[in-house]
Formats: sequence, C-alpha cells, structure tokens
Amino acid sequence: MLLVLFLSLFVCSSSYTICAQQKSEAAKKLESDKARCKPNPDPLYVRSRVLGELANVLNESIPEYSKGVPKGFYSDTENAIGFFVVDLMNPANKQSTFHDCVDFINGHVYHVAPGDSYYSLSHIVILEEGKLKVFRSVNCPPRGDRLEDAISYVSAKLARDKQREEIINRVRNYKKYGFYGSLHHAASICEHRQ
Amino acid sequence: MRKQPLDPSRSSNATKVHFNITKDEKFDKDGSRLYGLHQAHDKHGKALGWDDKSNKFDGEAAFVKGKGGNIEYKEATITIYEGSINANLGFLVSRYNDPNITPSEGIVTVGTHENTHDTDQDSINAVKDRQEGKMNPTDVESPAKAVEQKAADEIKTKRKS
Repeated sequence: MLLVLFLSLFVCSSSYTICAQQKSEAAKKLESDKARCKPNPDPLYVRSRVLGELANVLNESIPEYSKGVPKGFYSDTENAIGFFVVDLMNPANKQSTFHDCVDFINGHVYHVAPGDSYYSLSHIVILEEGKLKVFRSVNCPPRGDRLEDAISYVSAKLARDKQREEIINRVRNYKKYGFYGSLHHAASICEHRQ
Repeated sequence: MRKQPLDPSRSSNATKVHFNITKDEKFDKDGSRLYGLHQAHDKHGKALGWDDKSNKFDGEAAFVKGKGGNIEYKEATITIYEGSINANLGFLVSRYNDPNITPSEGIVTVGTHENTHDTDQDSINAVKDRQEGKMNPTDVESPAKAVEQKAADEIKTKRKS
C-alpha cells in the first residue's frame, strides 16, 4: 500500500491539483482496504501474516509458477493472490475472492491451493498453537505428502470432536472444497513432471 | 459465437487460426471452469483435444514450415469462453491482483495466453517432439502464463495512467 501511495505521488508530480486528488484517492483506498475485513478473531494469528506464510509454502512447493508469474504466489493485507484458502471445518470460511475475509482459527484444518488448475497442488494445513503444520501437494504423490498421512494426523487431532467424521470426509474430498479455473489443455504440473 | 479466421498473409505466423469468442460457460474434465483453449488441427482439419497422460494432442497435429524455416502449426483453433469470464471474473481478479479488471480486458489476457501456445517456438517444438516419440520436458504453460501476466500488468498500468 505504501508503494501505491509512493507511485501516486510520483505519477502526479506534474500537477498539484491532480496530485492532491490522487493522494486522496489512494488514502481512501488505504482506509477502505483496512476496513474491509475485521481483525482475525483468534489473536494467535494475524491474517496477513498467515496468508504470507501460505504463499511462501506454495512458492516452495510449486517453483514452476514463478516462471510465468515472477512474483509467484503472494498476499496483500487481506487477499491471497493466485491461491485460495478453504476452512475444512467450516467451508463458508474461505478466501477465494477479493470479497472474502478468511479467519484463521487455532486447530482448524484448511485446504490451500493455487486457483489455476494446472499449477494446483493441494496443501492440507493445520493451525497449531501459532504454527502451521503442512501436508504438501497431497494430490501429487511423486513430489508431495500422502493424503492418507494428512487424514491420519487430522483424525488423531480431532479424536474428541463431534464433527470428526464430517471433517475427515472433507479432507478426503478436499478437491470439492476449492475454486479452480483453467486456461490450459494440460491437466496439471504433477502429470507434466511424471 | 463470433468466428473469424485470420488471414495468414497478414502476420509472420503461417498458422491458419480460427479465433472464437463464445458466450458459453465451459468446464474442464476435472470440473475447473475453462476460460480459454488452444487446439491444433490434424491434417484433415480436425481440432484436437489434449491427452493428459502423454502430454500431447490426442491426434497427429499437422505442421508447416514458416517463413523463417521454423515449424509451426498448420491450423489451430483458439476459443475464449466469455461466458466463463462473465460467470466468475473473480478468478482473473485474484490471478492478476487486479480488482478493476473488466470482462473485455479478461478476453484480451486470456486470448494472449492462448495465442502464445500458437506462437511460442519452444512449445511447438516440444509438442512435435512428443508426437514423434521423443522426450521433451518443456513446460508449455510457463511461456503462455508469462505473456498473459505481462499483458495483464500492462493493462493495469495503462488504466492507472
């Protein structure tokens, strides 16, 4: 956002009037961005920080993406750029568009993956006492973790949870809890690597 | 559907391109919403699908030599699914980090992506090599994604100025 303000100042330096107007618009945008999402309800997690960490995880798992998009996966204060997040304990809690404000809650299990189906290697992420437990690329056995290991882990974690079976089913069917688009005739980077 | 075969004599690419923009909303085999598609044609003029397992077209794409001696597709169809873009523009918003992108601009960026499949020499060579049974690990999506992203960035920058 500081960059936006800086660019506004730079671009409009030739005219004070326009400059003032643009500064005002940039400031308004900053305010509206700040106001869009309520603070993350669980104080253990800061939304922007978790989104940034998830972007880093995806960049590590799918380095091919940055060949096409130099910035790779990234986040701004409230948006996931190039990927989505769905809470498998409450699928309505998600980040798939710029209107969403996903909440990161301790103990919850999330499906995190790129929205581009070609690059979409699915990650199962569990929030644990401020840290991320990640099962990488569960839909790509040659380069990722096993889905069954993620299921066993979550199953043990939710041993006393009444919703356990329902949540395990969602982890098993993680692909249903995603938002995908395609511009490709190739199925996925996973098949390509094989 | 608007359909317009391009005149090959007006470009440096020898491929006869059928460029379609359709109001259809399209979904891929895996359920992903499909925004655009590039299909090479075989020697009989049939537009080919893609074989996920072999990572090449599901038939014999026909090739010709271009002006510079490079191998190019003889004929291809590029389809932009405007219906998909209208149904979920949010996909492109998140893809380009551009909340102000319009459906028309989406048609341009998707078209740029698909056109790169038609013109990127390494990609064409990779498809031909695989068709002839040779190993060629080239990722044909990266160049298309790179040009598409550049177009999206330029549109975003131009709109601001």
